[in-house]
Parts: sequence; structure tokens; C-alpha cells
Amino acid sequence: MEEIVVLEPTQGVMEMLDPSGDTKLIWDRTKRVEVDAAEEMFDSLIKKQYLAFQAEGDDGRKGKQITKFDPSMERIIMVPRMVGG
Amino acid sequence: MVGFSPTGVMWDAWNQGYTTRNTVNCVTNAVTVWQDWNSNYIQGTTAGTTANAVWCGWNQYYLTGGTNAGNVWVQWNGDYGFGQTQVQTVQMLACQGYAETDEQRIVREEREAAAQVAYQERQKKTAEAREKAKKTLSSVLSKKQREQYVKEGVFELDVNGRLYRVKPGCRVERLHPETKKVQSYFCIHPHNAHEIPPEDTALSQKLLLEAAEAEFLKLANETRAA
Repeated sequence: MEEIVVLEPTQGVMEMLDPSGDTKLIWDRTKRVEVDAAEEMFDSLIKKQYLAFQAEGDDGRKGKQITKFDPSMERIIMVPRMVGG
Repeated sequence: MVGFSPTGVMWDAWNQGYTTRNTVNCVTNAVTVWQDWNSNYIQGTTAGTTANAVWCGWNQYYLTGGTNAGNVWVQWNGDYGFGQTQVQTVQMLACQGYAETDEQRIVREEREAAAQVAYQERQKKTAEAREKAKKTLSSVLSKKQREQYVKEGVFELDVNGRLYRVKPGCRVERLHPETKKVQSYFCIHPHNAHEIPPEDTALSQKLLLEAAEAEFLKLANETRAA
């Protein structure tokens, strides 16, 4: 079932959409190893043509498409490659 | 049944259960099953009478956003598969006039029981994934959108002065800003849409539409409403 994720002020989360709904990767901006791991995951998904969106807040504010990982971001949603149907 | 993919379980069950008990057309491969099923049970639909036509027709009309046979089959299998009327009807009709041996019955019942368990596990996982995806989608909606989504199962977006409507599992619609009559349908989805919850697809559509409308329109297949 869905886990409740409460982020610390120094944390960011990357949500990768997948068959389970999504998989979350959380990093702490003060921990280099976690930032590096998150950036590595971000880059590997971008190579697989995922689209990355910075989600701003939780009240429908427009997300911004990004191509470079920024550890200061609070929330990033990774969407698998989009195609026309 | 170990080793079958979810899709394979259903197809195998059909293939084994239906064709091997059909004394008229004792066929053994999936394509023939499909053609037989098509000619026996689908004639007269707008989709035509050949397997490909029916398959395309299903794909086009029945499922939203699917563009290949695999998507259709996976979704049909997931939503309407084992234990549902269609399958039972086909199997029942196929069984008429044929008596299986006890050994055959035991093998069939074991196979069907295993498929039923696998199907129920898939359904449970699917339901959990959809619930999770609904929460994620809701978390990026505005209060107004969230209320509309809860009430109607859809939400509207104003993007650069154009009004769009998103409904999980359906094509994105562009609406007349005043009458809200549908002007165009846009078919666009993650490449693995058949594997992820429809709410994830809706989330993807929303994010791309809002962040990069031009790219959305470039990728999407547009159908203008009549």
C-alpha cells in the first residue's frame, strides 16, 4: 500500500512512474552520497528518454520540465517516454 | 502455469481450454483461435469479420490510447479476463458436444485454478497501484481540479488560454472555452501505458501539457471532433 512520505526540510524526492504507481527516491541535500545517488538515477532515466518535471507545491501549480538534476528541488516527477497513440 | 506472463496465462487458458475442446476446429495455435473466435462471435460488428479488423476495431474503439495488440490484450485480460462472461461464454460454446476425460478435466481445473490465483493477485496489485497513482495525481491538482476529479473523474486545465480535459484512461480533449463542446481529441501516453495505472498516464499528460504544450501537440495524434 501507499507509504506516507513526510520530507524533512533538507530532503527532496524523485517519483518515478512505474507499474506499482511510482517508486520514490529521497535524498538529503546535506549528504553528498545521497545527492550523487539521486543525480545518477536522474541521469540514467533521462538517458532512457524519461521526461523530468519539477513539481511545485501541491496545489496544481504548473510544473517545469527539466533536463538537469538540481538537488535543491523539493519534488521531481519522472515520466516514461511519451508517444502519440 | 509458472513461467507464463500475465498475458500468457489468459491466452494459454483460452488456447488450451477452447481449441482443444472444439471438435469442429481442433486447432492449436493462438492465431487460429483468434480467427475462429472472430468468425464465430464477432461477425456483424462494425469492426469487420477478419481477425485483424476486429483486433484493430477493438484497439481503436474499445481501449483508449492503445496502439498495439499487446496493449489491448493486456488491458482486456486485466479488466475482463478470467471468470468474466465473455470468456466463459466462448468456452461454454466450445465445449458443447465434447466430453473430456477425467484426466483432462483434472489438468484443466488445475490450470484454471492457477490462472485464477494469478489473476486475483494481479488484480490486487493493480488496485493498489491505481490507488497510489490516484493519490499522486491528486497531489498535483489544484483544489478546483481535485474537486472536479473526485466528483466527475475528470479535471480541466487552462493552458495558454486553451481549455483541456483529462480523464484517466481516455484521450485528452480540447474543449470550446465557453460551450465546453469537444473540439479535438489527443492520443498521447507514456510508451509503457499498458503497464502503468491510467492515473499515471493522466498525470503524465497534465505535466507535459502544462510544461510544454507545443511538444505535447507535436507528439500527440489529434482527431478533430465532428
